[in-house]
Amino acid sequence: MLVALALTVWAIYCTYDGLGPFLVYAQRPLIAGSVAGLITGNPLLGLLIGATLELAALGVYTYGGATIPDYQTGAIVGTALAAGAAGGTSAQVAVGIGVGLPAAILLSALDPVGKMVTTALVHRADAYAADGNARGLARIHWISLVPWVAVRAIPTFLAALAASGGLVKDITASIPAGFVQGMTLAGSLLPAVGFALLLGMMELSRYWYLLLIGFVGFAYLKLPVLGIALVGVAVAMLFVTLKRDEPAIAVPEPAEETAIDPRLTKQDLRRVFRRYFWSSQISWNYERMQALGFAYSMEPVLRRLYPEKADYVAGLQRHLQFFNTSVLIGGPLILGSSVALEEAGTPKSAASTKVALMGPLAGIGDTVVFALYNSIVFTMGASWALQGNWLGPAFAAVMVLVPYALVRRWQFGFAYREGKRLAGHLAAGALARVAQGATVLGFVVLGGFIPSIVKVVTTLTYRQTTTVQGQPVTQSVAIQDRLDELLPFLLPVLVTAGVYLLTAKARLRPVWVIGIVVVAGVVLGWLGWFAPSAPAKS
Amino acid sequence: MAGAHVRIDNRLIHGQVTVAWTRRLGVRRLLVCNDDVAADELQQVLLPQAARGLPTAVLSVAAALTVPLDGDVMIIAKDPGDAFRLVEGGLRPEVVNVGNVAPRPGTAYTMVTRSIAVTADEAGAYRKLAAGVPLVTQLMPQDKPADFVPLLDRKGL
Repeated sequence: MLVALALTVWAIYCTYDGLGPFLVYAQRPLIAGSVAGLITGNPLLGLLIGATLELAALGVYTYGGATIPDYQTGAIVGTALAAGAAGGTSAQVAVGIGVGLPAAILLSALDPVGKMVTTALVHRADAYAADGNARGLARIHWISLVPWVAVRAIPTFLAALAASGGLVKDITASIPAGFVQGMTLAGSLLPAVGFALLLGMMELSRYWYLLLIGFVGFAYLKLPVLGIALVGVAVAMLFVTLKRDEPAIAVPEPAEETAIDPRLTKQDLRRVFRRYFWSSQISWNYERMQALGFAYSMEPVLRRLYPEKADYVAGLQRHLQFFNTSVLIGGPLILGSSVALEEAGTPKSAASTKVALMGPLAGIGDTVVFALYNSIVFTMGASWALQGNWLGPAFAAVMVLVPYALVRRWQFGFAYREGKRLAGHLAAGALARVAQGATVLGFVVLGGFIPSIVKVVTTLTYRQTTTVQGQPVTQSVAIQDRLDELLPFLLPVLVTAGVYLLTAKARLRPVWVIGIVVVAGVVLGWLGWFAPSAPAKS
Repeated sequence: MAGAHVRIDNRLIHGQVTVAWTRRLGVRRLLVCNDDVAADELQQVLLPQAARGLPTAVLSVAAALTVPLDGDVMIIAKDPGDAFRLVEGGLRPEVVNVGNVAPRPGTAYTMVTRSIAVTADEAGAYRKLAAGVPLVTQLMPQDKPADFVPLLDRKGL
């Protein structure tokens, strides 16, 4: 019971972290699962299950409200049930993945429920804004977190409670060894789904050759993942530097600079940023998306700038209009420029700049944040976690905590100082260059990650009869040895290519592809034809 | 002129478009089509940067109709009026997909789906559009397309 409550509290925090501050990206399965392992007293299980689900979840990101599998709950529930399961570690991990994966997929059906309740709440916020009631607005903003949390925390609590009884142990006591073997193989094939989805999001036809750099680095030069990432950084820098020689994009002239008498205090600015940092999208809803969070963040500035109630109300209503962008890269820029433009007495251009910037910055920010930086950091973390190394989740957490906190603070200050000139800076192409550099880095790293993380070898052998000194001699030859002579890591490459064809060319839904990979893994592993790594030579 | 893909999306270029749709449709260039956006210098330079490397043009409706629009271009119209003027001007897309239309300030709108706000005027434009081309809504490629006019009927628009 105590464990179930603790897991529920953790699930609540994970949900909040992924909507508000993104401190450690706790909603990612690597972090959610690892901590769940600590809570249940089985840290290793949490690491292994979280890391496996993390790799399966790569490339699955929510864009503007599309619903995706709830891997956070899957990782927590999977770890909780695994901890209560019978058998050794590998049997428990098999249970954890076997439960966590379908749970993540099924529970995604609840996600729209939470978002719909929040949509109803935003209409209450409209009424409060019309009254100039800042307290009411703030209350609705924070209450909106409740439906988001409920659809994740309640299933977590129920499943964790069920796991704490002896029932799970009884049910799992008779798991056949073959199934464990099969599930283990399936777990090591699942990263191929994540990699294939990522490749599907990137411009493969344009940059495919960059995959070779990473592949050669790992397969032939035996570089560790960190080494491959460093090579990737170097190649990305090279690309971006060479790109500079292209003709510059024409930048629109900034409007006449008017002398602004600063009416905002440092404290006002801090307050705005703090509100955005801690709660940017806790009231995310289908209709207005992040608008309420934006209005709530702007409120201290509006209060300072508009002593007349009518102006203040108009300001709240202005910032309660539809808003959605990338929270980590983009959002703070828009916030800073909105503050500057409101202070400059140009509320109209504050509103239009917001609208003009949110789409493009979402496109650029999503690329850099979701598809590239996070993928690299969490893949490295998961690959270490799969070896039972706590450095994995710790590394990932630190690598998101520090840079994202700093980069958000910097964006806000930069945009505020630049005011009207901000748009010109963005138009000069700096952000697009960052996005392109990140794409290049992503390809190099993926080339090395695919063979190092998708682990599969064949255990099949064939009999070969040769004539030795006139005598026929029959010897068994491992097919894997022959494959290795052909190309190292041929099977992982083929599996990833096959999954890529299923997702990108045959256009199967990711959920179906995951199903196919799991079934194929369980069957082929149970039969003993394939395994995650070669059996020890006797 | 046939074969171009048309999506109505007032967020213009964002993740759903660049990551999911351009890959799914296999398009090689993007065309943002709206008179106001085409007149906005800032959006003119920013939008192509958000397109993740796809060549992108930002044109008014009239200008869009003067360039060849074949199967390898995805057109993003900001509202149903733009899409209707394109069809009226001779563009024959296989289908027009209503993606995201966020509510706009100062309008009386109804949420027809989770991501589509429709005003009474726009409902008329959608119906005129549906008379000429198949009109569906499909947020992401993996979603099932749904006929749009029955959704308007259901909301009494």
